[in-house]
Amino acid sequence: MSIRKTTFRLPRQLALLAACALSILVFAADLRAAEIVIADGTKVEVNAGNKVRISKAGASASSKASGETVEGTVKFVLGDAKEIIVETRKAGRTRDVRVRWSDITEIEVDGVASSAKSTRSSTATAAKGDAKSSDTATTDEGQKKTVFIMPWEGTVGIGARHDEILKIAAEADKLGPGQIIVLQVISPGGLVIEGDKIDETLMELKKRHRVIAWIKEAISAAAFTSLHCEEIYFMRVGTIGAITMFSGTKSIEGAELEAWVKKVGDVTEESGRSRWIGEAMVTNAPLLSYDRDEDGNVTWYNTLEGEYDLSNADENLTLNADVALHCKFSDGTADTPEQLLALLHLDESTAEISPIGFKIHENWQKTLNACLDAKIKLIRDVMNPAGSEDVAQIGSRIKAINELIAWWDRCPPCLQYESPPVPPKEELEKEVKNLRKTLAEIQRRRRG
Amino acid sequence: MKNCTIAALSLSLAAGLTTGSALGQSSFDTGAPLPTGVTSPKVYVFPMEGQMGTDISEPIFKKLIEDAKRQKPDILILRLKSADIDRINHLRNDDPNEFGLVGEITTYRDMVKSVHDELMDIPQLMWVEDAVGVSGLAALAWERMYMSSDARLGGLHQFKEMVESQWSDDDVRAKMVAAWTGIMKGLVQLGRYPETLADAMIFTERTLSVNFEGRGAKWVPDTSGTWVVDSSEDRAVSFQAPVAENILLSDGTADSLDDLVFLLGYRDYTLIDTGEKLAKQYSDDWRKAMDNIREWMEEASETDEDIAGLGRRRSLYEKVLSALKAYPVVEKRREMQQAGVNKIAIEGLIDDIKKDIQRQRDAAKGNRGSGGSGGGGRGLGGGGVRPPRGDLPEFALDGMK
Repeated sequence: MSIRKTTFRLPRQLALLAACALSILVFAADLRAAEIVIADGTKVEVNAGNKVRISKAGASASSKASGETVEGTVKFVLGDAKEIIVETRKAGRTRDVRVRWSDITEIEVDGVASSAKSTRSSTATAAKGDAKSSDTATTDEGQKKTVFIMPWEGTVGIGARHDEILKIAAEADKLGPGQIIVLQVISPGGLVIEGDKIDETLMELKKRHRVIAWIKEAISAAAFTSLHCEEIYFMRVGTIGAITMFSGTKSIEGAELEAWVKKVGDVTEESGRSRWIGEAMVTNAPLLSYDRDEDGNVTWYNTLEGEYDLSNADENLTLNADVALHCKFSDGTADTPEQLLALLHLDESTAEISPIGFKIHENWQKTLNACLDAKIKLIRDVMNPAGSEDVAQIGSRIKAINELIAWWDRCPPCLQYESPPVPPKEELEKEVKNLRKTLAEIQRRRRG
Repeated sequence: MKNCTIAALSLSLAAGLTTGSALGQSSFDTGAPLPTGVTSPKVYVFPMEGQMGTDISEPIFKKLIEDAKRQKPDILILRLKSADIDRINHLRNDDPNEFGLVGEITTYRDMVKSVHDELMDIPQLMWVEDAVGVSGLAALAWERMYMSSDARLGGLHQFKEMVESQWSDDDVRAKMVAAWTGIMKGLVQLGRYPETLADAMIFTERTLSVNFEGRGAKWVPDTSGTWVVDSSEDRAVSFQAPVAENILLSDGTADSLDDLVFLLGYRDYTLIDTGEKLAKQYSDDWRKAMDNIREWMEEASETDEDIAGLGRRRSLYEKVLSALKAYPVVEKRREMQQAGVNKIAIEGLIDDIKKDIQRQRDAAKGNRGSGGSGGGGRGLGGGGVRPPRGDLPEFALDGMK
């Protein structure tokens, strides 16, 4: 469960997986316009490009993260997900905000207001409790949403890598924007340097697709990764937190710690949550508590004045399924893909789970395990080479080192970070040259 | 499979012990409901007996799950008997080698989750005969829980201290405690028990009390509740069966399977005991394998350094390796870890011996060279079974001459 500061080499190139039989789905209509159904069933027609001002339910005054109003231009209308993506602008920065239809209490489309409570506007059609109709419409069109579930497992940077996120993103991109990508997170944490790359990639990926974290174990760098997702679901056994960065046995401190606390807070806030949650996961000092009123609205405190204490000055924060759900950090609890689909308001008739994410995971885990097995044997062959005399032993060493060099290309994190470490590829290549030279000298001496 | 009819004595006992669940009306708040309209349900006993991490481990869980799927029972009863600490504390006769392996907590999480997930159509319940230590958390992984009248349900001892002793930095220490306990609480969440209870099971300094609200109980993380369960700040909470039932932690008390099934609302049942047999066989087998490994390692340490001796040693190590592959739990045992006996180390020894034998053969043919590893060590030294080399080979370029 360590986050180490270290350097990391990317594999030479990302290889796309073998083509899988996937039906190409057409989402044009789904993505650009729909009659959305807001909080109490009011229908409002929304088109991509509309200027909107949205009031959301469930936000609390003290929650910086979940501001009550979203203002901007509609980018996508996601019929299946029942969400709209609004491009907002703040301090010169563009940001996509995902809003669930059911969270909208009031919406102003191109200056015309619609409200669940108010008189319907010209754009609103009278209907209530009819959300099902849009489900049916999707089904009638015969379009199934593809859900990409990818187990993301192991130490961040070794088993759980940025590379696999890029691979699943590439697969989703093939179907166009608005796909659902679920990272099934099972990781005790890992490398900071990997976290930096993940941060950059997920921030971009979120603009194109709906990226969801499904938590079994998201500790440390894996928690940091998961916090990027606007939607987080838990397995019942799930846990997230403990993002303290340390090197050796010492945690970072001073300006470095401040920057890390800020970074985690920013990421948490960016995804629609109170930044104080992320900050309490980083270091002991930040306090955290919350209140929850009868309507389920949550108010966060960076003190212990809330009814429910989550982290005092001696504790680092991890959240489990029940508390995460109660404080609305989590969007739901699901133990199986089917249960998860149900929480996403999808089922067999409206969605299919792509096998590609599982395949990407399996391929990398196989490579990693094969490398681990091979590496130990090869190191033994280098250190105690087969053969009874110099030439044979040098030959054995060269053979083993060359195989290690090949593994450096196939599975760099295993050689660099997994114990026992192996010298860098360049040093190994140099050693092979030296050994060849020695071999040639011995052979020359013998001939001479 | 054996047909069982509950004796009248059992019926009266059960009636006296239970908080009452009307015949045929029991149901689970979550998970599959108990069968109705079945007069004699098929009951599969899924044993969890012995040491957490070895007797109660992933390989046997996989076998039991597969067996349960084949047997298609109406009810699955997880019988738990695993306690680190003897009932007679003052004797201090507990064997540390038999303590539950706390470091395997993520495996336990996956094991209990797999029973929930893979057998989700079968109603499941936990029956605690004894659970002290990490097994206490496993006991709470099922919402419906019963206990034997003399059962204990106790938390971890010195876990937090163990983690904290490894880290001197406050933030890192808190991180490690938070990470480990976060995972541990996952088991308790599986049984829908509150974090307050989990905290009291994990942290020795936490106290615990309970308030009753209607027919429910609300746990309080201090001693302000109506019923103070644990006021001690130097030991984890531990429940005796009667208390557990009185404070509504357990759903009832049953001293036999007959009693338990009666509590569920059935007078007759058909016992499927294949799980009990599989688990017993598994425990016997891995323990026998561990004894064999000790003997083989001893024997290997007495072999000569000539080709015949090395050959004999290699053959013994190969038997050790084969046993370690068949029973991976063996290398998790404390004494095996202390002795450095594990698959990777033994593979290394075998590899070295092969090379040594070849060198000796070459030397015998007059093909002497500068090589020679000094490997293929004999294993035992100083009364242990530690192989001469560490688990993992070290790589050093300057070591390559």
